[in-house]
Amino acid sequence: MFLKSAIRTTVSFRCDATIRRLWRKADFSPQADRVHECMQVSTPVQTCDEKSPHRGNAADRLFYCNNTAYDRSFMMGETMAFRDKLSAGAAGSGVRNFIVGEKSTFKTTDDVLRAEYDAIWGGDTLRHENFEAAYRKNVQEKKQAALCLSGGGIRSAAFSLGVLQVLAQRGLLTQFHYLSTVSGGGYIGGWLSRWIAKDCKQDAAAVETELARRDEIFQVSSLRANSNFLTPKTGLTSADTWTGILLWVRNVLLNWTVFIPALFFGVLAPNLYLALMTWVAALAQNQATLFSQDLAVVLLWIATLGLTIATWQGVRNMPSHRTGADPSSRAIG
Amino acid sequence: MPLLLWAALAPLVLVAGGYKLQPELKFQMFGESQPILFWLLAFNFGAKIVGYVIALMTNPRNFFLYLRNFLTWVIVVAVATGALWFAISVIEELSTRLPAKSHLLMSAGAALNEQVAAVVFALSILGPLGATLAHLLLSALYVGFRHADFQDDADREWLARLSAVSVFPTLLWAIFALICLFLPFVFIDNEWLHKLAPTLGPTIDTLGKVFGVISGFVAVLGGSGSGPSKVLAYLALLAR
Repeated sequence: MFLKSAIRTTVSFRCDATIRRLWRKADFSPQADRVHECMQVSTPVQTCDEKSPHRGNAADRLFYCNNTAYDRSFMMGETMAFRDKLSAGAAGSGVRNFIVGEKSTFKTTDDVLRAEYDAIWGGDTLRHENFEAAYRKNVQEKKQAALCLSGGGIRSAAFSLGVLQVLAQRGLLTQFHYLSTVSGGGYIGGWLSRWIAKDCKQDAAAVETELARRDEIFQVSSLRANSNFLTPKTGLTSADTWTGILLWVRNVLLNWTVFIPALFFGVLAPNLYLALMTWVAALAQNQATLFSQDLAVVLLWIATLGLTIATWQGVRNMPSHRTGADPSSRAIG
Repeated sequence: MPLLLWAALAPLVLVAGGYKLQPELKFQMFGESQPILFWLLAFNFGAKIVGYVIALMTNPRNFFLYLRNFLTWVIVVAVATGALWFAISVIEELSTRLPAKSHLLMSAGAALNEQVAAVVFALSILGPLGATLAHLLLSALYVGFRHADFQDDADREWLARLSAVSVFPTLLWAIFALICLFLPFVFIDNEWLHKLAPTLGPTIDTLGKVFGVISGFVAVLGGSGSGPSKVLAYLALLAR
């Protein structure tokens, strides 16, 4: 009933540049169109099979495109054996053993849902012609819960870590059936999934117990130690530190180069207009009357032309005047 | 955009025509010799009438509807023209209340006397807004008095949006230009600042202390920090 044997991380996101890069790298041109239809990235829990070349590999993700699951490792160009057979082993391990392979046997959404159902509810696979309807009816009768971790970069990850710790302390973490994450929440969600997957028993309850400890456990301290991604090595003499500082300085200067002239021009505009007015006034005062008269008249005609066009357009496009005598428009109106 | 062109050029026309600078200056057009303000108002009236007539001619399907509202249009255009004259008068009046200092002008200030410089200054800030507000009045009156069998609400919506897209930029312009042109004058090289300085300094100092003590008490009594942070808060309070 609970999320003890498997946590399935489903990350829904748009097909961004990262995915496209992966696909290009794999030279997966026949399916290139499918990139645009990628809807989900899923991180299934891993088997404890020591022989699995992907054990603990963060690349173990499945891409679902056109209702077909692809392994991310394949897209990264790795030549993996076709090992995506659903395990015939213990009940509830269907998703667990679905790790590697060029292409899964999941052909349809129903296949995925069925495997997911097996993994969560264990062996009670729905066999029904109208699987999806039966599935929905069944799962809605069961009280399911999803933990959703939103995006927001490292801040979201840090916040979500706190949420996970408190949920673990209150014994609620394993009550969830689904873990849905996006972006920054995906960092911490992936970390949790990875931790559970790494545990040979894949016992989420044990992980929950560890996570609930008040003192900082290794997993959390390791997370802290490795999350300083901007400047991994700190210190005055660290190249990372100085790189960060110089990056900041460079980017600020570049931004200023763009924005400050624009701001200056904005402030300059009223001054330019005033200067123009003053100049014209000085012309009217000092220059020949004829020139001033000509200038004023020319400007007046230009301004009048603008006003005439504005009036014409404004009146012409008034809804009642535009469609007034048209019976069809009247009916619509 | 055409209306904004009108709004930007109208103040320039006044200045170029020697408004307030050479009141005796008159312009010969259509057999009449009149000052620039007269021609500006006359052209404002004429352009709006001509624009309406062009709309009438280019939409013969609704010829009679246009014709039926023509008198209403003429009246509201006359009122709007009066509003434009009123706006110019208000701007002129406001200019007399400006501090009469020639350095209000950024350039060529010396070429103009202070009164004219002040009018130019006020026109450059408020002129475009005045022109579009007069046009807004025209829309408001017309939508209230015109005859239409249907789509009244759509008319109101259309004219409101039309007015918004012209008034909003000029209103922004007035605020922005006021800040850019007037604030420097207020804060730089001004007497009031020098007069206030001896009292302003101690006042700010006292206010800082008062708020510091209050925030200290709030931190000590209402804060949720641990022991050491409360000690620090006490120390900070004592230090004040």
